[in-house]
Amino acid sequence: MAKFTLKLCIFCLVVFATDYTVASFFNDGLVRHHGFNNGAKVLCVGHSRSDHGIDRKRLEQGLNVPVAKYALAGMDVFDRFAMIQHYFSEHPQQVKMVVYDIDFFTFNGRTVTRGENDKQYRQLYPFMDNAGIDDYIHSKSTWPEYTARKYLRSLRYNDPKVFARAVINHFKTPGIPSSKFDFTKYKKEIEANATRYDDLIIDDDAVACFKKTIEFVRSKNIKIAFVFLPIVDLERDLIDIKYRNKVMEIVRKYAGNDRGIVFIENNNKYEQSHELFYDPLHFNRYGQILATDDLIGVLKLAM
Amino acid sequence: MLLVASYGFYSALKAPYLLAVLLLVTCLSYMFGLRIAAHQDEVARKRWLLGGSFACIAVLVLLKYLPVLGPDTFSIFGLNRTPSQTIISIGASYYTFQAISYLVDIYLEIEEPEKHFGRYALYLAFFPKLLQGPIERAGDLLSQLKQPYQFDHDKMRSGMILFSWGLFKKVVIADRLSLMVNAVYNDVHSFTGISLILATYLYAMQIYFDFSGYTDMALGTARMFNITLTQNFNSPYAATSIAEFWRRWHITFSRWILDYIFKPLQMRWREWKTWGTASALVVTFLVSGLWHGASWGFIAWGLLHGVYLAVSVFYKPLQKKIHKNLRLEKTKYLKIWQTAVTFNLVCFAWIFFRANSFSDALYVVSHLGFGLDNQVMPVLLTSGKISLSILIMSLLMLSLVSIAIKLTNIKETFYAKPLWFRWGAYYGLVVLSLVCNIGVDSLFVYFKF
Repeated sequence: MAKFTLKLCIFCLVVFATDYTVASFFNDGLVRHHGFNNGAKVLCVGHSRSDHGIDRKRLEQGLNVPVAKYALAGMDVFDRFAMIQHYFSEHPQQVKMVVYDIDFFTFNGRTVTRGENDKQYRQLYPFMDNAGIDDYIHSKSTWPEYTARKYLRSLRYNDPKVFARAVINHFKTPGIPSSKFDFTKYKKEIEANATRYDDLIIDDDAVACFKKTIEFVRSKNIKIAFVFLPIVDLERDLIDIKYRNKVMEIVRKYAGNDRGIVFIENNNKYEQSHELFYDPLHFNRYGQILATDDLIGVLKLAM
Repeated sequence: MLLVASYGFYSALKAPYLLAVLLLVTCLSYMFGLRIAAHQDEVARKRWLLGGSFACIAVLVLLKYLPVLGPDTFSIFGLNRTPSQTIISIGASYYTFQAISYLVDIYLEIEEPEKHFGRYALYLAFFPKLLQGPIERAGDLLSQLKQPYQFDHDKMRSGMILFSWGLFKKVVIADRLSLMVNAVYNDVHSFTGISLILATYLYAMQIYFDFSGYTDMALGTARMFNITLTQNFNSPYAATSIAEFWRRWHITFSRWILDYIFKPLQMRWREWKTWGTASALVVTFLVSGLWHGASWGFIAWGLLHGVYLAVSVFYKPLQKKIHKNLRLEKTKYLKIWQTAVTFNLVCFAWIFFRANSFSDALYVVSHLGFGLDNQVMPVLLTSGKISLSILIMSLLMLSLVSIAIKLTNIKETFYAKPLWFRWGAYYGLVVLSLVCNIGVDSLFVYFKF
């Protein structure tokens, strides 16, 4: 039995060593995807609509500065505050401008009310070596989930999106779909299901966190560009217009009170251009190019 | 120590009422078992048997159907929240059935009652099989629990390999399939035709790998303690009839319902001859559906299998005649045809099992034949191209290994290989499970029952 135990211990050590190596490989892929170690001057933070709405490489070429894009599906204001703190804890000196995406769901406390899962924080596991991210994840996850990922590093990458990014970015820069959204079919579905976004609220905690984020970034003398990311008009009209106006007013108020903050809201011109979306919420490749080019124009003046 | 570990394992679910339920069923069945054996009078023995069985079933029914009464009912157990649907009765269905089979076996004088309470408690609570079976008979498991433990290198090694194999099936294959299936079945009205068919076939694979993966982990863990649990799966989708399917799928459960529900009913209704057998089958599988849960979907699923089997009772003689006249008997073409038909019948029934509601199931059934929609690739690519590639390669690897095990003596050949070869294989399996497992909320499907 002693011999068997010894063999088992050696086997476990070898597995742990492999686990560490594989995790390092994945981490490198993610760092490349986000542009974390390129000395970024511009940091884009947001959720999947930023990921689809902003072409990092194109933005870099247009602005002629390195850009980091820290955009993960489903991230709300609380997640983004943790993400921003994470980035600045590891890259304290470089960034001159933070690009932060805004949409009608920003102050709802979650990025969208239906179809989005509330386990989006799992995409932050790869960065749990950072103390701030570690604390944040710990507060959200269960003990078995957290502990397994703490000691088995490969498990941090088992979210399918994270895994794909971690692998693909070693070989190429992945693109986004170029397919077009089927407006007619979606319109029929909405009419058939009488869909509305009836449960959206202005969450005070979300607004407070948003304010804290601004104060944190501005305390480092870094400029902020809030970028309104459009959704198709059909989807937009499911949200009460008073609610939409309230959201925009909140952001305009912060932008209006500080010369270091600019609010880019003219992207709403794309809401009727259905050919630029591949689903009701996300730009396709063509929409991404147009939105990025617009952003380049504004940021060149703002920076 | 194993008993303490088993109760500790169950307590890790953080639902203290479950421990109380397990203890209650253990005490009840232990006591009733002794009472049955203590009486010689047939009437008294039957009374104690019925009393014990009823008590165990009452506990199970209360646990499974309590949530239906309302969200506040769990507050009477001191819980300030309703546990998740999966946790509510986890494991109870399995050990309750085990307790009932113990009582019946004592009544029929197949087994002697276990006098040692701790050993009996371990028989019900043994942690590898506690949450999802297999449903062990007293004769199979109790005698093994009486043996003192002696370290066995071969069993420890093969147990660990089996555990790792089961884990691979679950975290790499079943969980990956679940993402594709959930994309369709959680939003059925957005799909039609071939996407629904594809999702149903994928679900058939998902539930097999999920459940058989768990079973391998349970059997492997038990083997490390020199305990042999009953094999629960035997290539069920290779069955050539529904009856054979149930001899290969969830074997311990189907044996249980056959021995304790079907056979007594068939005996009682033997005067109705074929109709009696058919009725007994329908009732048995209706109970099977109810065992799985309090929903019309499970009842429909159980009833469908009951009807399949009932029809086959009438159809079999005619079927034999047709095969004989067409000279198809024992040909491989017939076997392929029968396997394909059986698989599709089983998959059709899975629709009711998996759908989120009975109306969703009806939607799926009514839209299966609606032709091609453009959702097949999006469904397959739900978790990305890399994930799909991993799935396909894993399935290929699994198939090759399974075929090799069936057709050759690969196990003996493998163990005869040098250390570096064997360790390389173990290492590959463990690392693949670690690296390629997919992050989903991955509770086992059969935890719910």
